[in-house]
Amino acid sequence: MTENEAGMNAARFAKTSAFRYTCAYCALRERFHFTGHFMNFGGTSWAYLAAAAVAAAVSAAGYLRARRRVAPGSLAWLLGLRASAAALLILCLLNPTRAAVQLERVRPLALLLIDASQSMSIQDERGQTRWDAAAEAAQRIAPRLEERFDLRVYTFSDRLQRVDIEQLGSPNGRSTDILTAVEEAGAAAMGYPSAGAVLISDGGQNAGPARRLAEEAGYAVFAVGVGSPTPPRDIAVSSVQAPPVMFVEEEAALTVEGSIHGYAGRETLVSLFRGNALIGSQTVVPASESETFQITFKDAPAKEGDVRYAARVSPAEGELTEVNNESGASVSVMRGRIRALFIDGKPRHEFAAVRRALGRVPNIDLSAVLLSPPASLAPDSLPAQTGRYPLFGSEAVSLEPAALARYDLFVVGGVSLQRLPDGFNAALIEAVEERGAGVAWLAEEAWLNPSLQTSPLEPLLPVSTGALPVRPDSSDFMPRLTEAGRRHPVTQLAPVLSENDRAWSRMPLWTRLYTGLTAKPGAETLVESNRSLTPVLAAQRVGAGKSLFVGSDSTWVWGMAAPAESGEERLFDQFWALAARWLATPASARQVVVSPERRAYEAGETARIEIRAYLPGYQPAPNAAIDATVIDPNGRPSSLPVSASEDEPGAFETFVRASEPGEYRVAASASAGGTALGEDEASFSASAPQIEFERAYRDEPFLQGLADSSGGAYADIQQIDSILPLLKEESETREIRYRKAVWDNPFALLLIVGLLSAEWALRKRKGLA
Amino acid sequence: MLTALAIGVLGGCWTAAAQQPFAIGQVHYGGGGDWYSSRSSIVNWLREIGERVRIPVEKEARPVRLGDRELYRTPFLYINGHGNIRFTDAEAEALRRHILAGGFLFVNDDYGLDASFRREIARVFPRRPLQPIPASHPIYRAFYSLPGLPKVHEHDGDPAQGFGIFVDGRLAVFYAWSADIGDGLEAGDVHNDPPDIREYAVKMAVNIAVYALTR
Repeated sequence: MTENEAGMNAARFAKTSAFRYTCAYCALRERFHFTGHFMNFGGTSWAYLAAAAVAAAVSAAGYLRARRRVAPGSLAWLLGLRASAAALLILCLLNPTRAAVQLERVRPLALLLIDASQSMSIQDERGQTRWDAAAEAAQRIAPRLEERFDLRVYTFSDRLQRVDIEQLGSPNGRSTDILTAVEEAGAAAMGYPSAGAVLISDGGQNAGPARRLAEEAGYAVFAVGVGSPTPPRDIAVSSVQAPPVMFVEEEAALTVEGSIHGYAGRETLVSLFRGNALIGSQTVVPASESETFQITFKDAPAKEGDVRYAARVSPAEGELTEVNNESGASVSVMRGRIRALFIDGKPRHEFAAVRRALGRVPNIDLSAVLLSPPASLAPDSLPAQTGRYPLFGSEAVSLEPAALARYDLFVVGGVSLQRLPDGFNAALIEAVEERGAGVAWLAEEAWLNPSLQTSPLEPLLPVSTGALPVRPDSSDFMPRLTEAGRRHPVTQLAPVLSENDRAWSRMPLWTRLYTGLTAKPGAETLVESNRSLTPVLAAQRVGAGKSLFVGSDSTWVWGMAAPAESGEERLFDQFWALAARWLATPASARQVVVSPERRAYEAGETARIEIRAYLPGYQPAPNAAIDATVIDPNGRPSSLPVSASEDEPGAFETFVRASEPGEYRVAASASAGGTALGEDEASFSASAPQIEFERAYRDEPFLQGLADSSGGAYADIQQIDSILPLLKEESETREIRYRKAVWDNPFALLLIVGLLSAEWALRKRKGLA
Repeated sequence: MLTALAIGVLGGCWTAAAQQPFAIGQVHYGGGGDWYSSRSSIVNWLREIGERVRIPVEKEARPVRLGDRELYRTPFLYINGHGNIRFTDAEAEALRRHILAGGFLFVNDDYGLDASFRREIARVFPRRPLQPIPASHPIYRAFYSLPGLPKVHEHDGDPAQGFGIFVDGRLAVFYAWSADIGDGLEAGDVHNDPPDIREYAVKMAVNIAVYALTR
């Protein structure tokens, strides 16, 4: 029961009690059923009793001083009258009450639940839409129910809503959850004697599994079926399956899925578009009355950016709806293959593991160079003679500055930065800051300690060191996602947030975390140790490029352990694939970045849009003023309220309700201290909800089962009147307990005044006044 | 001076070596064979790797069972001996997963384990048979440029031959048949092998370790 519902219940009882208290019959009943009465004293009793004692003493003393002139009998009367008046006054001050129990009859409650999901807009109920037929029937039976019961009317789809019977709204719910509606309406009516519920629906339970029937609801459901029991004719495109990222001029497969009902033997043309450009068309001819189809198209986008693919089928005569004749998917197109350079300085498991993982990333051309250390290697060894370990193709990899221009991604491992060729550092900075390349730093003492703070490469790092030397801690630790890490592309090991959280929580223990490092102000800590706040993974934009720091030199333990311990194979590889793609995608020099949480929504959903603002040095701008607008599929602009994130400085969010299918463009501009920081825009698409039209026939077996399991009955909407007599008409008698003040009546006042007056008259008569 | 001393003391107390030491996991297999043999040769092997490649190494072999929960912390595994080898089903599965995850297995034919090892490794990788490794393979040039395997002991007089199993193009199991690199790693007075033969064996053993640490 909601708080509101509980409040309504309480108000109803209060109203009923007040009404009955003014009724003579009930007042009489109250007297005769007065049980267990007792006095209750409020206030500070001891203080009052003390005051009474003092008053009595003063009073008695006054009379005793005058004893010679008053007869003992008169004195007793005077004392008695005055003491009685004082005692009565003190009694009233003690606020006495009496408890009482009142009996009342509570009318049974009937529920009227009407399905308001989109499938109810189908026009197959004897010339009417299902919704019109349901609303008409509901409005017809409501007065008859109200004669016998207290009545509550609800509409339901993916949520339950209490409504007025005269204002039922329209059927626009994106899904149907009958069972939850039955449960929630029942919970809101808890405490009432239940007559049962009349539920009018087409039975298309499609929100969650039909996990149980209404036996847990605790009341009888009288299900009323509406709509045709035979599947309607319809052609639907249910989805376009596309990779989230495609590469320029590289062919990728896109799969269109859909269904055809009632058009056996008829040719249906399915077309796929990239924006407005036709990618291809294929014809589907279903052999049976009800078939699904799956068609694969191939496309190689020509340029970088965001594109929307849309699959369409032409409308067929007599089909249920044309809303589901199109579906789409948004895809980010990146430039082609990633060219990566991995430099390390020692043979070690970390080098081998990261090299293997990067080598498995599709679309990556990896060049690995293992420089030999300057110390005395065995002189007849190959590394001593050539300066690098003999890896396949390694000899041809040039580290000269001019050669670095070809790489999109650099991975720096256990190599001293001072051993790199002259000009290497400047070329790396230029590649990252100006050209938008990415750099991943694998923690290793060779470059962290002797050279980091004095190296010109230091600005490329997301972390900084303190005064103490940086060393690995050999203790095991659990890597823990931060809030920033939960949303960052590098740490998305599973597509759904909860699954990703679970994947990280099931991570094997890592080891050898370099301590003494802190994330720079503009960096995001994505993963931290459970033992300290030391960053395990930290990321940062650097000019047009990006930088990622890996704080353990033994992430290979994850790669080795995960398959053996949790069965989660290749998550290590997946992490490096995500890291490589993120790092190799230029951050651009924008100081304002607009990012929808998802690229595709269903109409009716609300999209969360993240806006990040950066100062000219790419530090987050927490105090930026943000203006955001959305342009809907019809080209109508409207401004959006923006709120700042509490967790992340420089991050803001806004929400857009995608009320209709199509492309939505969100634009934002930011300023700080009166200076414009920049602007950006991004888009997301909303497709027509499909689920309500997938099994859009009346599901009689489900409704019948629902009724049977709850002790109710099932009827066609044309026979809705037949179920009304079946609703239980059993009222309930309840005890209402309350308290009433004893002193709060005129008799008490009259008695006090009378006692005092009598005492005064007696004193007057005796000549004492 | 005091600051430097404090930094050194704190650094030494609270942290580990700059690089995780290279470890050799000596596999404690079943079947009755002498899995524990030639431990002194592994001590020598580790020492030579440390001195020649200049990387930190452990001082002696790390005995491991294939069913150990923490097997994954020892990527480099070594099988040696003269007798029968037998893996349980669980051990075979553990070894398979270990190698697929990035582990490396070096098997030294110390004379007498050939048949049982081939039988057992076929259970571990039923669809990946042992393949002859040509002398042109990078394992022979991982650190030293070598013409092939050394022939340390005669055994049955067969030429030394390398065999291997590949995972994603990586040589993940290396079997040195009829070469006896392990004996070649022993001190000169153990088997009285000539110095040049022992040096050849050491170079090949270093190549194997460096190969495993770079692929």
